[in-house]
Amino acid sequence: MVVLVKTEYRAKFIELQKDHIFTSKLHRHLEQIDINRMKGRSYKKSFNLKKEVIELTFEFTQNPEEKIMIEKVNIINK
Amino acid sequence: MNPEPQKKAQLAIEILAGLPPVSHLDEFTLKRLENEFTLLVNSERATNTDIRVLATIYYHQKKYKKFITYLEEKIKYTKDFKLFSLYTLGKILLEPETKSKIEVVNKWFDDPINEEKYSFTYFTSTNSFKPKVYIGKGIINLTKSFSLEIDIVSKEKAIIKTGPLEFEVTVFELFHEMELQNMDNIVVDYYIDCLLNQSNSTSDDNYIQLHMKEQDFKKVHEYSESTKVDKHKDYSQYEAIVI
Repeated sequence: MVVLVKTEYRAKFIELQKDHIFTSKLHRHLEQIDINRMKGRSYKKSFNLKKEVIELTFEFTQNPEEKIMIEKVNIINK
Repeated sequence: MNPEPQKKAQLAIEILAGLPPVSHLDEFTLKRLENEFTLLVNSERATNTDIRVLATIYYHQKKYKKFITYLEEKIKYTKDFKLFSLYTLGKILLEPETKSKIEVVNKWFDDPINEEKYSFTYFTSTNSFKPKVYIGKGIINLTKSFSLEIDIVSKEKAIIKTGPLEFEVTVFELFHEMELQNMDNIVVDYYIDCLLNQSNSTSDDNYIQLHMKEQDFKKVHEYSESTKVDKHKDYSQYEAIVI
């Protein structure tokens, strides 16, 4: 699966991907979400990890083809 | 004296109700039962149910090593499915680390006793001391933990059922999150996905609401609202990443 990540959060996102549990949760969320319903919409989603909470802001494009964008990566220490 | 059949059956049902972390049987009663069932399993009329009861008594007495070695020895020559099932549950509950729990699951699916590759199902509670859920910067304190039915359907996949909710996780995630006492969060996370999809039912809402105060329930709903994106937004400053 491919997501488009805003350039300023690219490095942070790649670092997060090293955490197996984060990728597992992200996959599960994207498998569960109804992409058709989310077209043209944005929302926040939290991923609770051992020491921090990762909050991703997702955007789903409408045209010309559906794409999953990650608009913001926010790391909150517990 | 050995327990009478009727009394024995009643005790067996009570004791085999599961392996809860806190037994309602006091240590004196457990000691008496241990003596009675030890006599029984050493007699000719012992059944595999008697063996299961004695093993469960060991578990309630926190004689975990004895619970494991006793069952290992009995399984070796009885090849009994229910004994193997009790042993597997005990190991899952007792092993502290994710890796060891995964090995127990692998053994469940590899062992010839489970030739049919039956899934492994057990009931548990998230049972956190102060259950809480993290949503963004906010924390929601739960008024009680969730009761869970865990159905491990393969070496890799498990299904979690709680109230009317049912969803799939990897076995790795299941045990890892249990180790971190993070299961309450997994349930609320799934519910948030249902809210985003607008696939939540009234039963789902009522069930989640049972576990938190009204203002926290509203917070979960507010957090799960999506907004419209500008159709003409410029997406040139984005990079593709394979996940």
